[in-house]
Amino acid sequence: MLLTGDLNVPLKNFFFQMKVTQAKNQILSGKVELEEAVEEIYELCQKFRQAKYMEEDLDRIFGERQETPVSQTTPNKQVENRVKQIEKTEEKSVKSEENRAQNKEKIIQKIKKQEIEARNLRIKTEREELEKIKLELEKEREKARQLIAKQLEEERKNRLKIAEQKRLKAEQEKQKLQKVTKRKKVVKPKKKSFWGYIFGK
Amino acid sequence: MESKLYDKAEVISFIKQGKLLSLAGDNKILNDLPQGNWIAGSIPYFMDNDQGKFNQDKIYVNELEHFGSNFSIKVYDKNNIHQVVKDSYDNGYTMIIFPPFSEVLQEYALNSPNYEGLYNNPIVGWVSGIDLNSDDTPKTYEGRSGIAHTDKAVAIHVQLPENKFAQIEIVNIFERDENSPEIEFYVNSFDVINCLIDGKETNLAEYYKQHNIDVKLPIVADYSGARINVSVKEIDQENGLVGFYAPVFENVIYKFAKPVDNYVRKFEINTIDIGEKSAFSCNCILNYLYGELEGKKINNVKGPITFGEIAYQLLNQTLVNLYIENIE
Repeated sequence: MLLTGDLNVPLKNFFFQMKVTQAKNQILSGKVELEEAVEEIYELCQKFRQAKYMEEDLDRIFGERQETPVSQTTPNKQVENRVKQIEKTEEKSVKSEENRAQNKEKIIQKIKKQEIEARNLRIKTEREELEKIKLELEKEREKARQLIAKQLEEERKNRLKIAEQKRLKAEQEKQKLQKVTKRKKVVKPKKKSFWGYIFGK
Repeated sequence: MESKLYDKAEVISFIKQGKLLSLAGDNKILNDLPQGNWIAGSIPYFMDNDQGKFNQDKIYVNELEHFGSNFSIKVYDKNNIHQVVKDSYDNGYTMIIFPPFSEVLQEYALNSPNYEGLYNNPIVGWVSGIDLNSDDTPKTYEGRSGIAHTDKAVAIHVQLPENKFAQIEIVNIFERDENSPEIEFYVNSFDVINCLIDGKETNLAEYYKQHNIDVKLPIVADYSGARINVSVKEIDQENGLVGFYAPVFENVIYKFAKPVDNYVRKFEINTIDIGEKSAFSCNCILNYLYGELEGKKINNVKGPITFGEIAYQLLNQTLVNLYIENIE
């Protein structure tokens, strides 16, 4: 979007500003394919990820991403509470301190196992959901790609037309410049100081 | 080593120690330096530690830190300047000095925006110059041979270790005048006769005259948020031609710069953020003159005053800084 001109985000990192502009021009002139340009910019952004304003620029383009880390361990208090609950219900069957300790250990293991299973299930579900989203995104991307391709083709035709007009104008401009340069060469050049160059005297 | 003006004897000592150096000074003093790991460009104007100054007896020294990694020194002419990107390292930066009005500079200025891999590593540098009141010739110097050139660019490619990277920042005090018409050009060129102004074919020299536009102000392009200046060199009303110090490009929309009320103040405000740890810095002669920087200390602005600045491509009326950063 940024490279096709559909998204206009003023960037702050100098490298990024210049690279994006180069890529836009090269895509417009047909020198580089959109995907090729995206790939190259992605790699360079990785290389210069710690450059000033780079993160800010990327956040502005993609929107702020928030990641909530999944807790790997259950807080001890929670485990303890659950142990106590289970102990209460099974209190009658526990005869000795030794049995109680053994039982406690078993229960902790049981809870941990359940938690691991639950976590795995959650991860599996999340993965499946991600896969679905990925597929949907891929479909959307394909649609967008087709749409962009269509638009680009129309733009290309228009550009060709304009380019041809510009080419003719450019030819005229070049011819005029050549004439002026020739004319300037005939006149004996005056010695010109750099002040002259600076102020055009 | 601190970047500043040094006596010739001190510079000779740095060269003999094998330091990798980028030097700037008047031709008179650069002429007979010993051979070594250095490149140089002629210029007698500087922003030194204490103030802006004209000095023909000292040399401005930037030590190019390479942290024990590789470096290479190259000389380029118009036929091989396109190799400059390929000659750089995977991770590093390139420092380059061009002679003004040379074919090699023309070639680079016109075609570098399309060099493959131009943005893989920072390319910084400057265009050499001379005392504006003299008939001297601007030169570049390649230290390994000690040879001076009037038509060749000299460069040092520096490799950086994996835990470091280089980045460029620029300071441009000019903004696009939002009331300005849009200017588009037919060809990539340093000289312009006709162009499109708000879509209408117009002779640019005539437009400058008719609208009494201040030639001290550059025309400004918007590169995805970066303001890129092109400064006016001359307006030849007789031939209806406007000459620029850098090329204008087709398919880029330019606008006249917004007039600046107080050039000096504006320059001061815009340079507040410049860090002390810049590895290299240079500033345009037009900023030096119009901003009346001689005798003034402006924030952390330091380095040679130049006839053109390189920050990937040729820029005008811009201050360029290179920083070497740690990857954390």
